[in-house]
Amino acid sequence: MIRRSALPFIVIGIATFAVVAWYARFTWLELGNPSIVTGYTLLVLMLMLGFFNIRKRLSMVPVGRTSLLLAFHVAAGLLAIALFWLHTGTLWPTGSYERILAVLFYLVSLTGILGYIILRSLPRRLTQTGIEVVYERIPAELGEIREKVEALTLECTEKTGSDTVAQHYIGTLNWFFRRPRFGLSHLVGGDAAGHWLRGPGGAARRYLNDVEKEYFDQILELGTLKILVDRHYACQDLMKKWLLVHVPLSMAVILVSIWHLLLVNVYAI
Amino acid sequence: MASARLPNLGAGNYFGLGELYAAWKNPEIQEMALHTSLSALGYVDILRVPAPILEEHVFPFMETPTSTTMEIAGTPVADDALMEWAVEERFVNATRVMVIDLDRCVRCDDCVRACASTHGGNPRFRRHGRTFDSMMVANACMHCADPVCMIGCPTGAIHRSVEHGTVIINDITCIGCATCANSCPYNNISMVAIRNPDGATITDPDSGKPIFKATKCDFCDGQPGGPACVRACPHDALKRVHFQELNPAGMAT
Repeated sequence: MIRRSALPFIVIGIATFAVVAWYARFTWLELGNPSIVTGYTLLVLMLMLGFFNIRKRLSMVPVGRTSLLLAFHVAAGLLAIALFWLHTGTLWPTGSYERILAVLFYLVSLTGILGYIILRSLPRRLTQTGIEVVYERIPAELGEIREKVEALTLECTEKTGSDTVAQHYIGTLNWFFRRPRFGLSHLVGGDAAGHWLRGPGGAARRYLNDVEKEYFDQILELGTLKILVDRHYACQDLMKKWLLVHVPLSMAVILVSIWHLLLVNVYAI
Repeated sequence: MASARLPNLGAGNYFGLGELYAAWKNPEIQEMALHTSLSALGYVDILRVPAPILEEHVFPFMETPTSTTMEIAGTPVADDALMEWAVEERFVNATRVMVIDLDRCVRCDDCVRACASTHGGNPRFRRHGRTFDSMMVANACMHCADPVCMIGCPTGAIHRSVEHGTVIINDITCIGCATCANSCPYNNISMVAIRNPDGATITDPDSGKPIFKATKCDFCDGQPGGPACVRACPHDALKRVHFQELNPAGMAT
C-alpha cells in the first residue's frame, strides 16, 4: 500500500523516533522534563507536515519533486503519531484542553490515513471504467446524456404513437438520469447502479414492441455510460474533497498546539 | 494474412542482417527469405550495403547476430499492442511525450496548475488525450523528432532550442498566423489572446480585435529543475518520455 519511495523516509522516521525516545529517557534520568524534548520535536514535525500544503501552492518554485515531499509527508505523519503517544504517555489525556488537542490530532491522523488509502485505491477503479472525464466536465457530460435520452424518448413516442417508454422515463428513469446516483456503491466498488438499471430501470422492456425496444436499448446503453460517468464523479469528488477536511483540521492542530506551547511555557515551567 | 508491426528502427539500427548472415552461413538452404518488410513512417535515410560486400568484409569477422526482429516476431500480439497503438496514433515521433499513468493519477490537476503558474497563468497543455490501457498521452507538445509545425513559420518564431533540442516558440517574433497550430497533427498548439500585466486583453489598434499568439508546451525551457508538470505530480504519475523508450511496466526506462 505504501509506495516504495516512502520507505527510506520511514526508515529515517523509525531512527528519529528511536533517537528522540532515547534522548527523552536520558533527560528523565537526568531529572529533566522529557516532554520538552518530545513536544518541541513534535511541533517542528507538525510544521514540516504543514509545509507540504504550502509547497503544493508554490509549484513554480523548483524545490524538489512533490512526489518525494509526499513520501516524506506520509513517513513524517506516521512518526508524528508515534511521537504524540510518546509525548502524552497515554492514548487519551486528562485535561480538557489537551483532550481537544488530542481529538483534533486523531482526526487529522485518521483523515490523512484514509486519504492516502483513497488516493491509492480509487485511480485504478477509474481507469477500469475505460473512459476519462475531467471532473469539471462531468455535469456537462451528464446533461448531454440526459438530453440524448429525452430526445430518444420523444422520437420513440412520435414514431410509434405509444407513450410506454415516455411514461417509464417520467416515472422511473428520470430519477436516475437527473443527477449522479449510487455514489456510495461506486466508492466501495459495488454495482448497485448496474443492478438498478437491469432491474427497475429495464422493467418496461417486456411491454414494448420491436421498434420501441430498439429505442429502449439505446436508452439503456446511455444508462450504462452514465454509470461510468457517475463512478468518475463519485471517486473524483472524494479524491478532491477529503482534503477539505484534512487541511483545515491540520491548521487547527498546529494553532491549538502553538497555544498549548504558550500555556505550558507560561504556567507549567 | 494480417501483418503485425515490429519495433521501429531508428538511427543506428539495421534491417535484414540476420537473414543475410544465415544465408551466407548455410549456403545449402536455397531460399532464405526476409520474414519482415520495412515501411518508412517519415523522412528516412537508408544506407543499403550490398550482400557480397558484407559476405567478403563483414560476416567472416563477426559473431552470429541475434535476430531481434525475428525474436520479436514470435512474441504474443498483446505484447506488441502498445507499439501498434503508438504507430497508429503517430506517437512514435515523440521525443518528450507527456504520459500519465492513470492507475496512479488522482486527477488533482496539480500538473496543470504548476504549468499555469510557471507560464503566467496560462497552462500549456490539457490533461486529456488518447488512452491505451492505463496510459494516457496528454495533449501536450511532444517535441517531435520531425516537427511539421516548424515548416512554414513565416518569421521562424517556432524553432528548436539550441541548448536542449526542444521545440519552442519565440513570443516576440510570433505574429499569430496560426500556421504551426494548423500544421500540428496532434492539435497540441493553441492560439491564445495575449494580455497585459493587468490581465486585460491586448487588442490591435487598427481593428480593435484581440491579438492572438501561438502557445504550446516549451518543456519549461530555461526553468531549473525540469518541467514543472513532472515536478508537481505528487504520485509520480506523469512522465515525459521518448516514446520508443517507453516501458509500460515501469512507465519509462
